[in-house]
Amino acid sequence: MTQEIYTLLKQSEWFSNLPDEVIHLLMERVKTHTVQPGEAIIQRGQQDDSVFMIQSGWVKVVIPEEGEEGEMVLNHVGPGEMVGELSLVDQRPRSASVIALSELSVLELTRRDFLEIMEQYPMMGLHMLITTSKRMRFVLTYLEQAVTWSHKIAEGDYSFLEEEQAAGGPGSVVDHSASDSARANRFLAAFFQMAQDVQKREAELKEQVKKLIIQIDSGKRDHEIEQIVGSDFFAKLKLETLQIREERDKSKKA
Amino acid sequence: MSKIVSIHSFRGGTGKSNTTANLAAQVALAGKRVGIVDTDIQSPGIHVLFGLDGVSMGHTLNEYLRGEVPIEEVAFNIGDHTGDVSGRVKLAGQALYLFPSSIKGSEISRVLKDGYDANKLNEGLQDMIKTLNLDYLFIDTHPGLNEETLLSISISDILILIMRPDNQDFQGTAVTVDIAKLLLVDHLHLLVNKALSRYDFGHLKAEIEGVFDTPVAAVLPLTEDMVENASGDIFSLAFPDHPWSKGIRQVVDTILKIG
Repeated sequence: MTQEIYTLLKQSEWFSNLPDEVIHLLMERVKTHTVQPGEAIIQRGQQDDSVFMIQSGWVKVVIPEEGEEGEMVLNHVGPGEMVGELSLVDQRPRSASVIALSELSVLELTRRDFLEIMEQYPMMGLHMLITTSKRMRFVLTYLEQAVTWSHKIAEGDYSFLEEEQAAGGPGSVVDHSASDSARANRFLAAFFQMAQDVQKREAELKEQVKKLIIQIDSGKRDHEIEQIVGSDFFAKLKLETLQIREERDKSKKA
Repeated sequence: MSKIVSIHSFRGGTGKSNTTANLAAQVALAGKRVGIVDTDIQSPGIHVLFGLDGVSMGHTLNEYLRGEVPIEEVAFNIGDHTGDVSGRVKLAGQALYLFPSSIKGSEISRVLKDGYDANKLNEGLQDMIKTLNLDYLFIDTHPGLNEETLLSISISDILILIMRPDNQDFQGTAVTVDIAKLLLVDHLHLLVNKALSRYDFGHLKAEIEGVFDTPVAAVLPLTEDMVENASGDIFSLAFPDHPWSKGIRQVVDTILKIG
């Protein structure tokens, strides 16, 4: 177990290239947790400031959609990667929730321990910055793609969704061998699927007009007409109308 | 040759009076001599759109039908009394005569109790056309298919049936269309009003024309702007560029072509 943690830390983005003494110091401080699929290791809005390193398994980073049970997936994170670094730095509430996709083993490092170690080994801070910059670049790619697709939707073009669906099945974990842009597309596709659902609903509403017209009860219609046409008044009216029309035609000719 | 144009709808709330007032006003604006009869004696309402109240309207159709006053004393010339609202003021100098029904409770209950003489109404309409030398006489009818309505339909040269795109209107309109055809109305047109913007209007028009086997003169949108206007003016005159007003002018073109 200790060896495993050692290897993991040595290979991680934040701690690789740090001398063994720092790694050993970290190993003393981190706490190991086992998390079941579906459980959250971080809850959006919560006020805590630990950072987590995934030892094994995968998590999804999600933002819940307002007023609904749905969620928007921002990222998938796997072994050797960190989550929760924002609150570690700025101590503000958690910006997103992190939920286990599979059984998970994570290492927790508190802000207090992190700062203590960083005081002795400032290089660790630089590594953290590099990782955070990478995440930032991913977010920018994500935004850029979101804007591009929004424009397409405004023009009624949903073809990019089909292309994206063809590129990979939904629900599977998006690993890091893919480029930032390919990964952003995968996550955004799920979100923009919603826009396509809206379009479908709109089309269905238009279709309802057709259904409305078709719903004329011909039996009822015939019965009502029969009642009117069968009355004495109608017979008299029809006769009078014919006379009026004849007179009009005569006066036209005259 | 003068034309009688009946504006009818099977159910209430289709915007019938409002549409009648707008069509008549636009035809008058085109230089024709126009009359409007409110035969919805049970619940008159068109006078409000022309700024009339119980006092200013003077003699009413009710009195004429009882033989108390001649028809010319019932006619109220809007062109001489436009008021100063932005739409109606455009009617100044035009020949647009309103034959209002009484809005007095006692008069209405008298009609409800005794009914009124359909033949007398027919004579009255001919009298109006002749006396005021009208090109077009618009009849704002009572919703449904009672005897007065059947009479109005039967003497019409042009019948415009207003419907909203909903099932109850479709059913009642289907019956009315068949009756109008049996009464040999020369020019029968449907007018779809209060269509929700989510509908494809072109498609809606084609579908309805197919199902009713009757031309649709226009599909007019449901509009909040109309509600804001709150019946105080003639909408298509006040807001000529509004899609609803453009639709109204489309119907007017149809009517004028028939004339």
